[in-house]
Amino acid sequence: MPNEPDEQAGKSFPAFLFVTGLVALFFAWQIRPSSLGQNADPGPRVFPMALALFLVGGGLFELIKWTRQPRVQHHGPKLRVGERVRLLFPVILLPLGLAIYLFMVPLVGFLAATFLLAMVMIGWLGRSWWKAAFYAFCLVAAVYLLFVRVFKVPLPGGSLFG
Amino acid sequence: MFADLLHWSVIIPWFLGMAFGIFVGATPGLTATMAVALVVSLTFYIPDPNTSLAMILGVSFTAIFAGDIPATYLRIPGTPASAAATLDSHELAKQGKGRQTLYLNLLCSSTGGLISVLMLILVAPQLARWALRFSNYEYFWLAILGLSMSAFVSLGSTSKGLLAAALGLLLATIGIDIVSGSARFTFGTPDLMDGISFIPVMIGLFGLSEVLRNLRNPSAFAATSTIVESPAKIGQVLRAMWKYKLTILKSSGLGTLVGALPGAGADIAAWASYGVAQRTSKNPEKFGKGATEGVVAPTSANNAAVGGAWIPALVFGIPGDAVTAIVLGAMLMYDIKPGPLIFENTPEKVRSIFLIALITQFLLLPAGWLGIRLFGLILKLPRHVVLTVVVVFSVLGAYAIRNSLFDVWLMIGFGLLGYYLETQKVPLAPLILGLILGPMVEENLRTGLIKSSGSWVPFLTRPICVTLIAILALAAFAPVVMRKVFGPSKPAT
Repeated sequence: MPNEPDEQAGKSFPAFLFVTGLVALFFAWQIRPSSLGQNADPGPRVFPMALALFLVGGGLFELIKWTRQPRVQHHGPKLRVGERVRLLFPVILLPLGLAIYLFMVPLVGFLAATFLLAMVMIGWLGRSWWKAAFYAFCLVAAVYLLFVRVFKVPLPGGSLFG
Repeated sequence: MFADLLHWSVIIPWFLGMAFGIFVGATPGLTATMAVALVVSLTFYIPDPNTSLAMILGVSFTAIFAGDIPATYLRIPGTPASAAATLDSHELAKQGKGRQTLYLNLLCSSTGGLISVLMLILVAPQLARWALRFSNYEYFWLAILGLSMSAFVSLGSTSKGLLAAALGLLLATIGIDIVSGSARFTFGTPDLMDGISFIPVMIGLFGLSEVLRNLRNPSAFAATSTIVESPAKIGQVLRAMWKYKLTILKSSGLGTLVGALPGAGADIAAWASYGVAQRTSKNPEKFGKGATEGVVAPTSANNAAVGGAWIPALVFGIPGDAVTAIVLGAMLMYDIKPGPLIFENTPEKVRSIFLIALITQFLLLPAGWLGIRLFGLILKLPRHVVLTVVVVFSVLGAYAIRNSLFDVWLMIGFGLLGYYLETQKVPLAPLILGLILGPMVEENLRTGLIKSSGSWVPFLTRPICVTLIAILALAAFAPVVMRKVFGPSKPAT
């Protein structure tokens, strides 16, 4: 695995906490409690607002901690931006592929969409499309037998095929 | 009941579940938590809850043991719980004693699991009687203690652990508020009215995120072994077990106690017992170079931790680790409600769980033996096929809970979140616990305040509450004081 400085870990976490906390605070503020009368209940928005504020405060704390930690001398070649993108490419591609897959399922049905997903993934990682088609077929057959026949899970059929 | 559990309709799925646990545990990059998350969604379609529980418990114990197999042959732990035993196991394998070491691991795992289940059977009912004195005020502090402990004991930064717990608590507020009926963070989506579905979150955080990590690290695709094996001598295995019987007992006990701490899983139990065994050994310098004790201690402890995690889970509904958290979620689907009253209201279900856990330790022996013999076949499976199978079953597992594609979107989102948080060295166990314990924290807090007319006095003065607060303060400040007196010990992130 190419070298990456440890200081990269935790660099974006403060920003993540800020954004999450502020967004949660905004939406928590809009929660409207139903009026059931005075009963000492703090209400439905106090708890989420308190947690959102904790996250914002935690983001500040992590930012201060990160700026104060000593910078470690980095040994070995540093990753260029292009290499980082290349390493992240599969990480971005899989969720994107799954999103496309989920749009396809209502159209072509679960089994057909799963066959395509499995074939593309195995072919892309393994580099042999014939083997990919074979493995994908075996996988979909196993899914059909287990989930449709044995467990009787109703898998979507797809609107294109009625 | 014993005869019912040994019926073929239970034994076959039980053994298949254990075989699945062996496969996942022995494959580096796939975790025991992922195995349990995937199996749980399959068990929803099995009508008999005993069969489902047997499969789930079988998977959790076998996957932890199976991680020792690649640790021994490849120096790559199959699960984090096997990391502590890796060095010594692999050194012994290089001496041609790989299979013999694994048989020793198997016996130690089974023994550790057995001891922890016996402790569960003895301790849990007694603890439940004491827990009947708990009211809303005590449950609130207990949940806070459980969450905080998971942050204090998880590897890495305590502040990140606490923030992960807070994030989990925040996620748990999504849905209709049970006290006032208001919609929170639902954005008008009917799928979110019931809150975030737990199983797709688990599958995403532990299943999909692992796949993403494996895709990022292609060198994990090329695992090969060059070990030359000598025939295993069972007599030597049994002699080693007798020689290190005290180490096995100590490690099993320690593993059970560590496993009972929320957030402290089998991996921490294994390292803790490895450290204790080294410090108390007559030959500490041999650890890391093929010491049998260095194998016996962590392998007894890691399986013992799985049983230990059930103690707070059954008695309080607070899971000891992520695996038990998933199982608790599944138990609620079968109308098994963990808590002190489970021993009074549904004693037959508790007896089932105890029996299943006990029998699993014995079934682990043939399942583990098979896994050791077939490991070579597992290694031959193309890794990209294994990862694709995991992705497809993750999608199916997430979909099958409510027949909803929204849950699959949830799974993808949490997969990305889990991947991101791990790159930022944020522990996931506190986040899971926050998600599970969130309703317990908020409902008990608000109900307690309603009962006390808004006063915090009962929260701060009742005897059990004071005890829990004192334990919390000790857990929070003792490491700080120790660090000032003895110097730093916890690795910074």
